[in-house]
Amino acid sequence: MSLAIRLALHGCANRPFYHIVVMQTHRARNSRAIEQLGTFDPMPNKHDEKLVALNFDRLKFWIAHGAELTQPVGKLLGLSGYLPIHPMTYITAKRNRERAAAELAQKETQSTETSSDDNS
Amino acid sequence: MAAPAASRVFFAVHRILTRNSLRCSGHARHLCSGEPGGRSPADAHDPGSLFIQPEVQDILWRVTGFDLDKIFRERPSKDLQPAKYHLLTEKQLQEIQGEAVERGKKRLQMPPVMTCREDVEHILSDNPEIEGFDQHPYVFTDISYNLPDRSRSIVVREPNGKLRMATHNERDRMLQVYFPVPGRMYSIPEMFQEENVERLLRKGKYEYVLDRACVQFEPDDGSYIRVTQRIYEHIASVCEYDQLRSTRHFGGMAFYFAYYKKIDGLLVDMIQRDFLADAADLVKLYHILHPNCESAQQVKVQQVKDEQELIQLYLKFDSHHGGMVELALQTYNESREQTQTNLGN
Repeated sequence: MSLAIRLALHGCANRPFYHIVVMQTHRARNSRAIEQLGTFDPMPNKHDEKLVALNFDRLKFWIAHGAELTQPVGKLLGLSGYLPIHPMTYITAKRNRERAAAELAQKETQSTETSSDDNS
Repeated sequence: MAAPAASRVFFAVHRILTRNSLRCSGHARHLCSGEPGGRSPADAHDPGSLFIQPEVQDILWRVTGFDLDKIFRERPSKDLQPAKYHLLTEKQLQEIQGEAVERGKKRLQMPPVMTCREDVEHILSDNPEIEGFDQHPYVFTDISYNLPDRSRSIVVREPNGKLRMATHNERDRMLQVYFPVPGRMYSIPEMFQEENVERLLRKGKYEYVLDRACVQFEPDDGSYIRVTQRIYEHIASVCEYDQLRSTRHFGGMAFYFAYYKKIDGLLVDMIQRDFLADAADLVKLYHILHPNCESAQQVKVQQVKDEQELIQLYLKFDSHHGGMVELALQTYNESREQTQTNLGN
């Protein structure tokens, strides 16, 4: 019986909300979990925060029992400082930075083009 | 995910998280800025630690008064029960009365007076290489069982990669989300805004505001200290001290006045209402809080025990409005003489 600590999607249409659960790997995403360890709300609240709640005591217990972490959970735990930062977080961060830089550059070239048009 | 490799790290990090949160919550030594007392930080000793001293608690408890009619007066409530009538023997009646007194004592438990907490930025780890991983900060709350709220670790990962302890504001919100306190609102009710507090004070709803502030805020919250002190000041300005007598807020008020050396008004009120023992207790409290003041030294030297003498000494050396209190004391003595002569006749 291989166990996984993973996200189960709850919530409703256009409003995702995840439970962080312990479950067998082969089970369907929202089938009955062995235990719920916490929640993750991916939509920023009115204070612009994303909320994660985790029962670290039970998390430790299940990791000790050999439960594997799925990638999204590993990323969250890396961000929380409980585990080392997940490798994928570095990659997404780098991609996001590059995309932002590219967008900025594009905007600048556009603005210089329009200003040069005005001058001519 | 390589669990065995990671498992070596996470125990250490988790330990650090918990320890830091403990240190953070025990912080904040200074008084709140903008307090009307205006003590310099040098001679300001922590009001929180003074308040929990047993002798201070004894005095505050005695001064509060214990009027059962007022403690169990009817209040607006959602679950009103019709009165029940029983036929009891004398012994049973005494037992039930004893129980009522115990319940009354519980109701009079004073909310603690504490020093104002302050936010200290505490960065646990700085990872600039993950800057931009998301546009929003992530707040992580440890919801393990059997943790006291004050040592629960709550951390925030900022979009710039910094991992820091949550501020007090964030902590309060998260605790209310995951461990709601009945009666406490997620966002602070508008009645605690300054202008609304003033409006309620003009209506004289002191106990109502104090009760709700007690539920809404932590006792070391700056807003709690601001609201309660504003109410005490207002009560002093309109001399309605009696409204708080036999409620759980009287002790805190008396402590506030003694701590900021403003007990004259309360002294006058006590003498006028024939609570001379309370007045003497208040002066004793003043001496405990300010052991270096002139009258405290005199009391030590002269070994004063008498209530009136104690008050007189305070009037002579430390009072700001001595005349007012003196006058009250005189009228008190005169009225007592009069009643005694009347009794003699």
